[in-house]
Amino acid sequence: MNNLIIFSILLSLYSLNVWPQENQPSDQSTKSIRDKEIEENKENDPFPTCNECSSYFKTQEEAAFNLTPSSAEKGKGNTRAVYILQKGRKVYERYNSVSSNQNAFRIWSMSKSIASLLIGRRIFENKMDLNDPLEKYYPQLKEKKFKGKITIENLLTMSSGLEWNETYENNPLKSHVIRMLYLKPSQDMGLYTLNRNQLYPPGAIFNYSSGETNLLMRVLKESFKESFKEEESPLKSYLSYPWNSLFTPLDITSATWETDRSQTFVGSSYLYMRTYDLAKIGQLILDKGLHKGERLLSEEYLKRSFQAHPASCNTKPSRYEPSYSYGYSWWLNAPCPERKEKIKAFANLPDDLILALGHHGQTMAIFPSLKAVAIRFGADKESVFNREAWLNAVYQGLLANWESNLGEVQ
Amino acid sequence: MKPSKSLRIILFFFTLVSLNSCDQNFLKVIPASFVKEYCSCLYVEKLDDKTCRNYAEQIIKVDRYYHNPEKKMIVATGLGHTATAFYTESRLGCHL
Repeated sequence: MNNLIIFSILLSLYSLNVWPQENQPSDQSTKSIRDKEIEENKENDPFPTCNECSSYFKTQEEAAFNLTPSSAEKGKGNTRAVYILQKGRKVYERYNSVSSNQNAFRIWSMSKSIASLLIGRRIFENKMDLNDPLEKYYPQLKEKKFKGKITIENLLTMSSGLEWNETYENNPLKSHVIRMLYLKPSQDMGLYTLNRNQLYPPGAIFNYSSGETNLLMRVLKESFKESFKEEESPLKSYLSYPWNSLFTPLDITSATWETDRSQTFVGSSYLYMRTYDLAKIGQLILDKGLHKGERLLSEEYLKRSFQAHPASCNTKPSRYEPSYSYGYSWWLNAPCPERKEKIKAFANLPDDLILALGHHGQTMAIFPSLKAVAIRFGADKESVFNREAWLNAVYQGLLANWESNLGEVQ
Repeated sequence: MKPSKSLRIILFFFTLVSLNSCDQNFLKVIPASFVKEYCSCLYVEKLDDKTCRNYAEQIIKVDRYYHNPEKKMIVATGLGHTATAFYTESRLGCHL
């Protein structure tokens, strides 16, 4: 044991001077190659630029966007890309020196919100129901003594009651999510989640869990066994479902969605997209599920997705987190209706703000009242990105545009 | 409020001590997270090699790694464990 402790001390000391930083080369030639790449590929981005709408963002970018490759705060927050859309027009777009609009960025837990849309699509096709118990898809679950039936809606709202510890670098020993993503449970993440103890009755307590989204993706996979088509195997239908049902109709071409070893989508974490492709998802939400006249999602499902779910309202937020409410795998600024004091996560931002959030500062903010989508990709391994400051700055810019000219543009 | 960098290092140190005494398999996280995230960074995000290496490294670095571009495969060894990740195809990316 003593040898092991000495070994740990040596390793830890060794690690003291190797805290990782995103590479941010200052080489001008690299930047010009990237600029050229963005310019050459800009026709792939369908959203037109609104030049007169970007002045606020350009004056604020050093302070608000942490895009400071040349300043003293080099690397702070390691923002890789910022992309802002308002009224279907691009009002701001910028990449760091190692990225461009051709990179499909990792969106980490923002994947959960897209996974929710996928479930919404399946429900829209009448192949699944919010109130379906898991036993419908896992008959063997009847043998497990749960405190109550876990439904699709429970998994969407992180309220299955299944034990889960969602910590990363700060407390790896207790982390279920690290084990699930990188160790033996990565063979079948849904099954690993299902085998947790159930601590609370379903629907009672909100407990943010990457495992629940991966269980949901496993349930989605099971739903294809019921609708077996002779020309295509259930597995093949499942693996092409995100593209057939959502990405291709939206003209999203850059998506990659990684699976675990059981060929189940890692709905919690492993979706990748270009900036403008993710913006298409945001625009679909602004357009209430309609894309070019075709309905992809029901308005009712989206409405419920963005309502503060009782489980999140009943649960005291972590002292490290703002007082978000939570819908169908979307973070919300909506105050909980049952609470007397109207506390919300961000006091200066509108109640209807919808957020997809992810590890290392990934953010997609949807402002329905300003018809805007703001995306921030980053590699903030040191957790220094100030999300609230960023959102406030974005909101001020969107508001300025709205009040000046963009509000009038149809 | 997030814990400071030095506090995080101390926490990590204590965690390591605990890990050594109770869960040897957990140490595989170091090479496994490195190969998975390095593979996805290179082949899915298509970022440059140096950026990807920096991104995938954790506080404790892997002892050594091997990248086979032909097979689109990364193998790494660290803390007595070896892990492999490989790229499959454009839609399904990398996995362990």
